[in-house]
Amino acid sequence: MQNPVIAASGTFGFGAEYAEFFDVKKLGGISGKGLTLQGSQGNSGMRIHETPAGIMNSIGLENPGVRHFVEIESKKMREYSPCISIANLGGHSEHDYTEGARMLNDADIDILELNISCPNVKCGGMAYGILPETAADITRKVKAVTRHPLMVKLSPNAHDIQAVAKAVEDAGADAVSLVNTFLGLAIDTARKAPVFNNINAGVSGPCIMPIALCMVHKVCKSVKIPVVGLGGIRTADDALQFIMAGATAVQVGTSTFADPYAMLKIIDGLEKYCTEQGLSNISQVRGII
Amino acid sequence: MALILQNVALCNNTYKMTVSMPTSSDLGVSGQFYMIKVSPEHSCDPLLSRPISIFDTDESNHTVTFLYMVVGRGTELMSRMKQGDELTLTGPLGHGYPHFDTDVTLIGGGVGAAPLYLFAKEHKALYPQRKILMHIGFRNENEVLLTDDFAALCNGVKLNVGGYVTDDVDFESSSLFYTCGTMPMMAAAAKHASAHKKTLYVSLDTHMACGVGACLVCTCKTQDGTKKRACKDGPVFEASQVYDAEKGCFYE
Ligand SMILES: Cc1cc2nc3c(=O)[nH]c(=O)nc-3n(C[C@H](O)[C@H](O)[C@H](O)COP(=O)(O)OP(=O)(O)OC[C@H]3O[C@@H](n4cnc5c(N)ncnc54)[C@H](O)[C@@H]3O)c2cc1C
Ligand SMILES: Cc1cc2nc3c(=O)[nH]c(=O)nc-3n(C[C@H](O)[C@H](O)[C@H](O)COP(=O)(O)O)c2cc1C
Ligand code: FES
Repeated sequence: MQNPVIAASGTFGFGAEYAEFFDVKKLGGISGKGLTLQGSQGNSGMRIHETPAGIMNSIGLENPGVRHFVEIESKKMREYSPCISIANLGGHSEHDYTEGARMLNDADIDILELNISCPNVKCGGMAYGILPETAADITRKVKAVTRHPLMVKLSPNAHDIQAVAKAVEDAGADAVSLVNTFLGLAIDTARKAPVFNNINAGVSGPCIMPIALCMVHKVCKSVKIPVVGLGGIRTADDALQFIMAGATAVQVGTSTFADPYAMLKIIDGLEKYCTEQGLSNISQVRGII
Repeated sequence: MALILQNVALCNNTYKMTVSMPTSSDLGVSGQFYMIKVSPEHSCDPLLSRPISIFDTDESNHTVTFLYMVVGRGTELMSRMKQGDELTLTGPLGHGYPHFDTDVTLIGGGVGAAPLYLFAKEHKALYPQRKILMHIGFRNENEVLLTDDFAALCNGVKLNVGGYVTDDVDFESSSLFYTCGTMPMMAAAAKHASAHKKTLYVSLDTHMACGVGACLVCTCKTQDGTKKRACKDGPVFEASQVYDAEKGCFYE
């Protein structure tokens, strides 16, 4: 990777939209919109709500399906090389995950990110990421069929995220990324009803950063595989905090909505930091905390 | 980045903001919008930018003007911005209203009529011999605005205060209709247009996060079952694509 900054899944499409604004080849990587085997129309009703310094979303994995990704989107993503391509795969059942992973063997991607942490789908999704046993089981099964390096995306809603991280490492994951969104609730008091049809929705953005950072720090202490940290990163200093906590790379999601150029600014800021500190590589400060 | 040249109240809750854009930039056309950052620099609270349509552009001075109503925190912050302040915005975004060489009827609901002003200006410049009829509705006397601006461009302006503006429209009088306003108002227009088998263009008002087509917050179902993003594929759509005439509402 040319730098440690990756666009987070679901916040960057498959790259084309933001390519109209800046040279996305400059990013370290792009994790595409979360895929499901058959594709999905996503959730109905309200899909977004603002919180102080954050948002809640209930997209529900609207996506064009794995086949469309393999045939079309993955090829377009390749045009952004050297920016690496990551396919993010969600699912509702074990079959969804293993079949999806098998089909993705035909795609020219660098990493398969296994999303066992989406809080916005009714069955499956996050359910796989709550307990170490189920997380390890699905990781093992996907690892057995995929030809790609496997990164498992963890849920901050896990009972014990350190235990889940350790379990997926033992099951063969090549890396972990964390965190996905926190389960949250918003109530429309005027309507006397939840804002979202699904009642709960996922919280992201700067408001979650200290909690996400704490989880990344803990996980970095308990696994040997690379950890990709995310959750509310907005500035180079935020990214640096994740790196000092032990992250090998970072992802940026919600902050891109507030500022389409946020990731470029973070990349520049990290380079500047290296120059100022006389570092040849940012990894020299990784895990110092 | 743009520089605020003017930000003034027109009537109780409605403001007009004119900004000077970098000279190289495309200003946009009617129906397109900008995502405007409403929180101060370095602040991310509120985090999301607000979608605001283009009310007017001035190519010679390279300015864009917005007309907006204060309805919540973001627009309230916008109303407090001062002449000389820097404004962070992204745009022009989305697809605007198409023009055809024919007479047109425009139906605007309150401040929602804003993009129709630029539309009328463009239409008059493109097809000076064509007639433009404007219907504009407001909830009460205190909110009435734009009528003189439209009168200067259109062949007729019909004002409705306190009622349903769509009730005044003769859907047999013209073949092509354009609307912008609240979703219920546009649904009423779509219902009439569909009953009279007339073509109507609507500008969907949906919540947005990215505004550029990447997050899928703003998607809507269309007649053929596929989903479209209001921000990127719209916000302007032909009504029959997004309005379910059988159920009498926009597709979810
Ligand atoms: C394409 C498009 C063009 C628009 N053009 C104009 C315009 O020219 N003039 C104008 O006055 N208004 C316009 N609107 C509506 C305007 O975006 C909202 O009034 C504004 O976002 C409200 O923000 P707030 O913080 O004041 O309100 P709050 O209610 O505090 O906002 C909370 C959140 O909900 C969103 N939201 C609330 N109401 C709306 C709404 N009606 N549409 C979309 N998002 C909403 C906000 O963006 C914010 O994320 C447009 C909307 C769209 C989609
Ligand atoms: C609108 C939206 C859509 C998302 N979609 C996905 C998705 O499809 N797959 C996934 O693994 N994570 C998804 N996420 C979670 C983000 O990738 C990220 O884990 C989370 O938002 C925390 O990072 P942030 O605070 O930088 O946004 C989504 C987040 C948002 C806001
Ligand atoms: S607002 Fe993000 S896709 Fe339309």
